Amino acid sequence: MIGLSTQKMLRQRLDITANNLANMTTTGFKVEHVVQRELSERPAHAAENPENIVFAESWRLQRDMSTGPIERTGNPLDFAIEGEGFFVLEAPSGERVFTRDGGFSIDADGFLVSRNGYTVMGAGGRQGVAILGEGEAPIQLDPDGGPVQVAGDGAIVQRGQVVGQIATVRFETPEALEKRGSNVWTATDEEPEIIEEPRIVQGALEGSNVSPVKELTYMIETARAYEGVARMIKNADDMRSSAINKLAQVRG
Amino acid sequence: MRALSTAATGMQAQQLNVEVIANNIANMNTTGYKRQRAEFQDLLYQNVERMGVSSSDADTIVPTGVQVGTGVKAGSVYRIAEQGGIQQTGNSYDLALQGQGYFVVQLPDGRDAYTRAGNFSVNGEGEIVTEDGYTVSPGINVPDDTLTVSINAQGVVQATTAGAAEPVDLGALDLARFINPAGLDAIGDNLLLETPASGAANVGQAGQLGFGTLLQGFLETSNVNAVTEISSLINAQRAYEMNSKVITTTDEMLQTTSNLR
Repeated sequence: MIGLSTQKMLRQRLDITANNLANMTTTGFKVEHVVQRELSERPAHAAENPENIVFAESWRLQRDMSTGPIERTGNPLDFAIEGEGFFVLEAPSGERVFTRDGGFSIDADGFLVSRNGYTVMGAGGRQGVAILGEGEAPIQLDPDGGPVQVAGDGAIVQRGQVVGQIATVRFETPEALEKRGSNVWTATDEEPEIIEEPRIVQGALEGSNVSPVKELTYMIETARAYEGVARMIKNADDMRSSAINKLAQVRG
Repeated sequence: MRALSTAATGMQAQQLNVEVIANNIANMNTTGYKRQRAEFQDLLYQNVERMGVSSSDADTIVPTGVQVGTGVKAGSVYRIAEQGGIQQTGNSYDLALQGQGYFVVQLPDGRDAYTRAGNFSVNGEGEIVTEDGYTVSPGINVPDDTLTVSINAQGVVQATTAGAAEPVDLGALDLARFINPAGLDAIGDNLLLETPASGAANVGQAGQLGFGTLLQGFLETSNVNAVTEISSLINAQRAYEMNSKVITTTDEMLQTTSNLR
């Protein structure tokens, strides 16, 4: 039974490693690993001085939130966040979701939208001072207004006028965020805190921070551990069967 | 085991990545070609242990849960509208655009298409047309007895005819500009179409605010950088290989399980 719990955990670990490797080139992807824990249980039928049996279980995720490589794309509506933080998007349901993927474009009405078509939220307030909540608004650009310049603090300038401010927020524990797929994250238990002076790079995207070498090592480790546990189970099985056989011989 | 299908999505994504890179390399010498880039997004996650649920009667909360992802998908393939190189050809109907803007081309079906490729010529009726014979907006007719044609930086076409001392103004070429050029739809033959994502075309003349200028006797080369493409190709191939390793490993683990008995 202990072996089985370990094998289940190892399979999960491989699944997560596979996902990390599959997302080696995903914009703004953050690598994650599972942390396992011991689960102590009292055996049901215990003799004197029962000792707890220890099972293994995947317990929680550990996310590496370090910034991925910033890759220059040359597209004026591609943005990367330097350091911590997330862009704020509004899903069609009105829900706030968060992303590190700053590959934006413009919809027919001139609103700045993400690749999934979610509206990018801007902060109110004057240049450089972002306020979320009050004054928070989608960012609308003038389709005829010519080139869009975004300053390092997220202020969007078109024709020499500040037309909006890209907002970025941060979370105390990024592990508490839930990944939704499509590079989008949602908050679970924590309110986002606005970053006063965001650092945004225009014309670049953040790559994935997956380190292929590390992942491959983890994978080999996982596979070997799995094999080891399988051997252990087999040994236990052999032991039991030889015990049954020998005891049967004595009787006979 | 999910790892099998997760790795399969990874291999598919890298295959697309290689296809996009291959197209860039194939178009390295295409006039006015803009390189493309594939972008990826993660797939849905399965919650093994949800974050934010209460872990006891005393309302303590699980701060971090366990989520298992299921792979990757192609998010978008988009064009990067950076300026390409400028190459001298000496042909008087070859125009290179420096800066923002697109030439406007009237398609036979009445729609307007947009292009950065300025390798034009004159058809039997004396009209300035593209390589495929489509009229270049607004449709400028060059007289029969023209000796030389000059097109200035603002796109004004002037013809010097036999016997005339002064060149004649024939009109100026239209240029179009988009707020989101990455949203244009490529239909092949170096032509692009307007979409809701690109925004409406803003038509003007070269040299106006926000528009680039023209250079006669030159062509804009593609903005594909061979070194960048080859290094992305190597990356994509390695990523493909690693995902296939995941499949092998998963298979080995499954075999271990089936060998138990």
